[in-house]
Amino acid sequence: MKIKTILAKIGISDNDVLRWKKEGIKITFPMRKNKKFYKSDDGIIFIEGADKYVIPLSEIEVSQYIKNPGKFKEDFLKNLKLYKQFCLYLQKYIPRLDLCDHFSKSLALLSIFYLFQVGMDHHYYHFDRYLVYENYPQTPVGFWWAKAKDLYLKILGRNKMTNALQLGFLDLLSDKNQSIASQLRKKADKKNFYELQEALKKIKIFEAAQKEEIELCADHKNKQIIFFQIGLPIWSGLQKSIVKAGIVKMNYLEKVKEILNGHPINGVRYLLDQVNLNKYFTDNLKQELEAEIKRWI
Amino acid sequence: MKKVLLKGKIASPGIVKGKVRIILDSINCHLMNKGEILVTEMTDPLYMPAISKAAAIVTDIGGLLCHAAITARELGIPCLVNTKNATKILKDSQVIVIDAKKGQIYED
Repeated sequence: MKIKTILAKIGISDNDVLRWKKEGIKITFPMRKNKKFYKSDDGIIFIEGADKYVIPLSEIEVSQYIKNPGKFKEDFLKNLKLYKQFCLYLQKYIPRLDLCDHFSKSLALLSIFYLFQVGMDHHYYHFDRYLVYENYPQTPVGFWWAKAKDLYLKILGRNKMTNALQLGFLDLLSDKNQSIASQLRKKADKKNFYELQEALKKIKIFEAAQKEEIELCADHKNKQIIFFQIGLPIWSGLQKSIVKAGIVKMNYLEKVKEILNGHPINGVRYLLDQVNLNKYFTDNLKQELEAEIKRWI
Repeated sequence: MKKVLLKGKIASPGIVKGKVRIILDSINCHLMNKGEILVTEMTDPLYMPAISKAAAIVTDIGGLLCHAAITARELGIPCLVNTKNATKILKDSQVIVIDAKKGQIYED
């Protein structure tokens, strides 16, 4: 007789899992750092932490999204909507854990947080991360940013971006575009001016993706970002239950408590990363967690 | 010479002087007064009640395509992003100058 995994016991059946997989939800196991990742200069806490674990765009995706930023926006928002539905689905099962013992509750919360975080890596950060790479011409945003800047400098007859020129470039991206654009039109030949306008339109598509993304994440009624609304209670549930659950190896209990008092996204990386999962948790917990997550692969 | 308190990435140009208002949770947007400088970790649409009153925006994190940057450019107000720790260095009601032409924040 097949042994039920922890989330199956609280009502997430194999059929439910299959349905989500057919919808396109992608989960991988184990959670591990990538060897190559772009380091961005906006990094504090979870942003830099996310870099190392985020599934990068493939070469085909990079090429496709450079050629067609509209496709980036479409794929990003489609994935984000799917991920949001998935998180809301998982959230419904959390109240059922109130009746569970500490072991089951901790195991379930760790499983849900794993799905929440790895789902985020595949369906949200996979795209969103690239919106900060304007200085990386090998990325979709960076390619068009560099192209626009090069054309802008070419039209002005300059070969290096100064602070003053940078400010003018930023004005081009704003509603001041019209007056600055007409100034540039007078200096530029038709081809360069047209190409600059096209490059700026491409950047605007990435801006539009960012705006729609952030609007999808905002719950105006409850005045919270949806993913914080879902993730933070899971995290605080873990803070309360994990210590009594008997799932952490005794010599790492203080370390795990320290991690649980920190930032949730960084924290889930530390706890459930392949290396630390083996280091911090009992074999019993690891086996059951793995059995649950493998249902989703 | 004025003391430089912080540096950041220029997301929307301009120079403005005003009082700091640190808002770490969008639920506190009602604390923002017109003409103050919004200082936060990062913004999202839930911060619009504060942003609409702000003379400038300063964030700890974010790039030139983040919500704060895009919104500031649309509104035509100065914005510095990626200051790392503006929310820790600056204090509520502190009068500062945002120089989003040099990417610096000065004490007044």
